[in-house]
Amino acid sequence: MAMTKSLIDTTVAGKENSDEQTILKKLFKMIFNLPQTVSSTEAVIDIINTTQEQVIKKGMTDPESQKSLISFYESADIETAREEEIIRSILEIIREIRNIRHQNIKSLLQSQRSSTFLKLLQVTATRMPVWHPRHDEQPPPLCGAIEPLPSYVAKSGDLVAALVKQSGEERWIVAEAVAFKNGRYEVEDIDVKETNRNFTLEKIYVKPLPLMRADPVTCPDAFFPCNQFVLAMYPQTTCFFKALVKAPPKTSYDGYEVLFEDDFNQYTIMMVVSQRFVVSYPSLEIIHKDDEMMVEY
Amino acid sequence: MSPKKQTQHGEEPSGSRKLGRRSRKSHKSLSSNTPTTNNTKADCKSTTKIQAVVDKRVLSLSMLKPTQINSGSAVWYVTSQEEPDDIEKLITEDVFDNIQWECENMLSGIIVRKRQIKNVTNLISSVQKTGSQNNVENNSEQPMIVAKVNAKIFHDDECSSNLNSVEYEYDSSENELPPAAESAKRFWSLVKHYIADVREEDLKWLEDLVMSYDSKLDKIPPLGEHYTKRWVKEELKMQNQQASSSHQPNIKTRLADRVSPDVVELINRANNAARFGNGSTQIYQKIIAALLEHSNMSQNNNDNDSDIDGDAEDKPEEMSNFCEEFYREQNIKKQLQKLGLIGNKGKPVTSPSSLPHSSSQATNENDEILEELVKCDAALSNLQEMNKNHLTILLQKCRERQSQQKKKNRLQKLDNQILNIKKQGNSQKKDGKTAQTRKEYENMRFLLDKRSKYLMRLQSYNTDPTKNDDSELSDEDE
Repeated sequence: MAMTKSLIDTTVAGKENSDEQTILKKLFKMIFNLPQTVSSTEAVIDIINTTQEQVIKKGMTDPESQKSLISFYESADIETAREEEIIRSILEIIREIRNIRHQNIKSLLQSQRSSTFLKLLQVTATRMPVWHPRHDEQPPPLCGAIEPLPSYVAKSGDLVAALVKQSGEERWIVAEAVAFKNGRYEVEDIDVKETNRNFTLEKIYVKPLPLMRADPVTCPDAFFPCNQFVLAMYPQTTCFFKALVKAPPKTSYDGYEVLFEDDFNQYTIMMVVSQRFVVSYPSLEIIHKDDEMMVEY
Repeated sequence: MSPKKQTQHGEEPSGSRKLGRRSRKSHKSLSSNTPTTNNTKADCKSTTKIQAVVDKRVLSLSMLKPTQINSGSAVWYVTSQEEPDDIEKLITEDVFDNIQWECENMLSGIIVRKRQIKNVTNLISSVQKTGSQNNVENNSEQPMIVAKVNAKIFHDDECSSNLNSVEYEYDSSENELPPAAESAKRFWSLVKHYIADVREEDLKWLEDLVMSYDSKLDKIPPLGEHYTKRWVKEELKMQNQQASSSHQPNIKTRLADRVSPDVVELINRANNAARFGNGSTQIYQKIIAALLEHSNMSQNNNDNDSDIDGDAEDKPEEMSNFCEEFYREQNIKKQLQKLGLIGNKGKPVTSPSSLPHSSSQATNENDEILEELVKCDAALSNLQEMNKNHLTILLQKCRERQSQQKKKNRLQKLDNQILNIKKQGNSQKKDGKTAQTRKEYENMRFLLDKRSKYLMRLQSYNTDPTKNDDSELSDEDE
């Protein structure tokens, strides 16, 4: 029986591996063709820039130049759209591969030493995809600082910030959503070293973590502004604490610059926390919650 | 040990716990993998403008930035390799991460470029549309477009070097202003009041203000009777009334009976001291001080005093402090006089009726408050005069400035007319229709002459503004 199970596991793993190989080959081909597209767009852009320079030197332009500029811009638009599609598909493939690898990382996260585990947690934050608008649409919920809809329920396996009572102390921890039953979340502490890891919590005590990074260039509104209080994961821990935003990320890879507040209303030195681990600060009723609301199982 | 357990370890309050966990290693290791994003945010900033002169519309053209695949980047590395049998050897975990970040970066750049293309295409089409509408409505020519440089170039890309030589223009009609333009706008909104043209209302307001200084200050009324004297007068009048109604007989008694033993003792001491050569003024002061100490007693024994004095001195129940003091002083003087101590030397107790009038005329001239009032009045008058002078100068300058502005406006108008004629001539030349006609040439000549005249006047006005009143009138006529 055990033999059969291990055989099945190997077969599944082998299939996943071959899938990954196939997708990686596809990715390679797409990347291989990318410079060609890029250079064709570049040619059109060069023509536009040269025309514009001439216009500037001339001081004024006639209708013919306007027409030619418009036609150049139109072809640049087409080329750019083509380029965009190719890069979007490359990113889609990367996402697919990430999903396949996710399980491996999860098992790694649970088995690694504390420092490696924390490092991996940080790496996953930077591997999270960036949201790019197709047109001029607003960023979706759970992109950067955009709150989820009230009806949103975190999927099983998603990371959340959960207010739990551990070792007689209430704290916001990084947990994984297991299930959502009867209006309550079942969450599991991602830290395997903890003794009591499973909690059933009211929805208000669970905050889904962002699923996409926001890019300050394309959607600058999807960030917590300066001087706003947030819940941020303290570096080298898996706990969230109250923090004050001092600077939002400058690029999609950067984190927030925050000052953590301690129990004596004092602030720590400036620390950097990835977008993934910064959520909105909960209302006071949630912070001073009734102990009975939490059930450990 | 679990990371959370690190926090629990010290068994301290959470504030100190957090401070104990500051070491951060993972961030450093990540930052080395992170690609730079200079090219994405730079794109949108270097722009040029094209301005339609006829309809005054400004559109901004941006230098587009193509996607760049740098040598050394993960994408470049992958494309420079042959497809291997084991793809995972080529695309390792690190390479894979970098490909993701580079592609995200490229996509950001592409989105910015897409927006720029969209904006510029829309703007050019709208300008063309306006031009074609003008053609239909007025049968005139296409709108002329002049290329100008946008507010500021922020970065050091290759576009900026091409644009440096072109004239700066601030465009307030743009919706998305760069930060520098915003601050410039804020600055101008602050200072525009200080450099605004002088209007008729401003002049009128100034004139009214100058006129308001013509009214004279309120006169200081003549000095009345001093309040202490008036009060004393009232007091004595009341005393007189009471005395006339009093029926108490005068009782003649000895000094020892009339004055309290303490006072007698003091007086004796004073007499002795006088005998032994002490200054009389000191004795007098000491006695007065001693008597003042016992003033309460003397007031309480008012009935007795009145007996001694022979005058009925029933004091009113409520007296002001000052009046009380004055009364006390008078009382002491009387006592001393009766005792024969200051009888001849001291000022005789005058009749109540003569008291207030005796020095009123003299004090009128020496009154401190009056002196102060006169001084303040004089200072205020000076200040008023000074303000009036300053405001008059300001008014004069404003008038000068206004007339200068009028001249400048006329000059500007002329300039515009000349430019328009010139442009029309140019466009006609371009279209190959006709050369400038003689009439236009004369018109131009006339305008230029007029312009030089204005300039001369303006110059002469700057050197001597007073001379220009007549020429101004002639300007108006023209």
